[in-house]
Amino acid sequence: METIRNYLMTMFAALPNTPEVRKAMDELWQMMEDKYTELIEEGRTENEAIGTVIAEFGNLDELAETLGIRDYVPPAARNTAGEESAEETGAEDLAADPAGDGTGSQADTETPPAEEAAPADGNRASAASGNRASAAGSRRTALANWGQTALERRRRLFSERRRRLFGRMDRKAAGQDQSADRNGRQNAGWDDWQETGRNSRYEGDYGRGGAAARGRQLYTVSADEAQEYLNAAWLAAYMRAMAIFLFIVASAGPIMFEYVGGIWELAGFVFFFLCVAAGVALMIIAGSLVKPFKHLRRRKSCLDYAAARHVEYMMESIRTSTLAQKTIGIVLCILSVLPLAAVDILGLGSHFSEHVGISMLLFLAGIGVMMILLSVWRNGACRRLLKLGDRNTIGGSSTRTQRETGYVRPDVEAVMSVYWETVTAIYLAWSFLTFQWGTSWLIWPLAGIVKKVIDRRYGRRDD
Amino acid sequence: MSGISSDVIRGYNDTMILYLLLDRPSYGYEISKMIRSLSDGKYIIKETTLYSAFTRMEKNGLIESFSQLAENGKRRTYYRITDEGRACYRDKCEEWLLTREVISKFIVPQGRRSLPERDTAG
Repeated sequence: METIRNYLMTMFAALPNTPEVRKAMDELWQMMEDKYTELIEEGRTENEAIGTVIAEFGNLDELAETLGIRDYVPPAARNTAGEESAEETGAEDLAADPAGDGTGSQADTETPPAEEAAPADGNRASAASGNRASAAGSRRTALANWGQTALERRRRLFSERRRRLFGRMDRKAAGQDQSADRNGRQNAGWDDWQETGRNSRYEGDYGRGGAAARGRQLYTVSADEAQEYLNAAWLAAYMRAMAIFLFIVASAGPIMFEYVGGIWELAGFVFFFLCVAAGVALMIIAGSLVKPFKHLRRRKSCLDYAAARHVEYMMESIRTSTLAQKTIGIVLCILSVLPLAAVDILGLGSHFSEHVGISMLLFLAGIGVMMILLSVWRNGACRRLLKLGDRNTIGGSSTRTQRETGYVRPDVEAVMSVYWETVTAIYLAWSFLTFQWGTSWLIWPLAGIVKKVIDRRYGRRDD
Repeated sequence: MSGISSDVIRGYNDTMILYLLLDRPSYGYEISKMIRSLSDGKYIIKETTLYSAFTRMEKNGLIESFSQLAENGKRRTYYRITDEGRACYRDKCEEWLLTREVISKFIVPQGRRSLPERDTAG
């Protein structure tokens, strides 16, 4: 039973995380489970039952239309189970690793030879030759070609995807923007089309009405790309949190050394500028870390089935640590006033101890803020991924299309694109001209309310 | 599946499913089981074929799906035929009778191969 479940999961792993896919998987699972149960009741062995169920599963290509993925069934998810799998020996092997490269008689005869069409690199080419070998007939040869472990094959698949990811970034760096890419693709020759087409993209026909009508391309994020994003985003989170800590602590320098006076005062300022400079540098590096993943935010994306599970798992795995970070952070922020209060209450109110108290406050508050931000940002990275394709941010759930942000009227769109910049300008101008800093901050909550109203009135809605 | 090419029979999957739903609602595995037994094991429908037929027919309003607890306590998706589906089934039957009539004119039992006399004088 577990084998069948794994088989089905792997088949669907690279498909987008949508309700259609989810439903198809559930239904197919029902049928397979029923069939398996009955075969066992009829007295077949487990191996026989598994073999039969997998052999009679069919071909995922048939579902392409149903799942809204007409143009794209990824090689990894293509059915590898031909008649061979009916054999007991073959069944286990296949089921254990259906992520194979479309080997198997059925894949050879019934599906277009995608592998042969565009063998992008050595791996592809070897997979293709593996295909030809099995097409040549010998099952033994085919099985021998599968000699690698599932892990190895998966790693190969991942490294290839990674290569594609970076290839994509290079293209981007070369200044080809998305629309040009898309338009150009039509003329770019079949091979290129197929390469990009299989590259986890396809014409998205997702969601009801609006999204589909606008005909935007849907980009599916694979599990390894999601992991790469998380790695980058978490590292960036550490760096940014550190930078904020440095910014807060920076002012402790002048405060401490001001008391000592003389040449030490200079040391205080050196400390201040060093901290700020280091903080700025960290900020810039952090920004460049996540920059390659800008396309996730800029275009319509959706996690694939495996990626959604993976991110959900990652989020769960950091749950305790982020909770601890947040708690410690808040406690430290509250405790940070203690040194100052102690100085005050114990009557140590000398000039020196007050300076020490303030410095310690900054230090503790700095660590506290750093930890709070860290927990928020690490979780935020997971949420951002899960939010792709779903407005409700339910981890790993089947998803609707990503919410379109934007406005129905172009003039409103133009104004709103610089909304916060305008508000900032007004705030600064008002404050500096009138010096009413005490009241001018009210512009911020006011601006927030105004934006909500405009969003409600002119915001684009999907349904 | 031996003998029948899936390309040929594809057009008649809908007919078979509609026929099996005429009397009472049913679910995926039961339908595939009945197809197998009614065809004496000569045609085994694949799960993916069945599911894509279900979704396509539901989209076209020939069948409806509903969820119900099965006797073993699990939730299962059942399908029931609609009036449109019944009408479609009748059409399909007529279509098949016609098809059979036409095709059978070209089918000769093995061992006896006799072409009708053709007028070559033209």
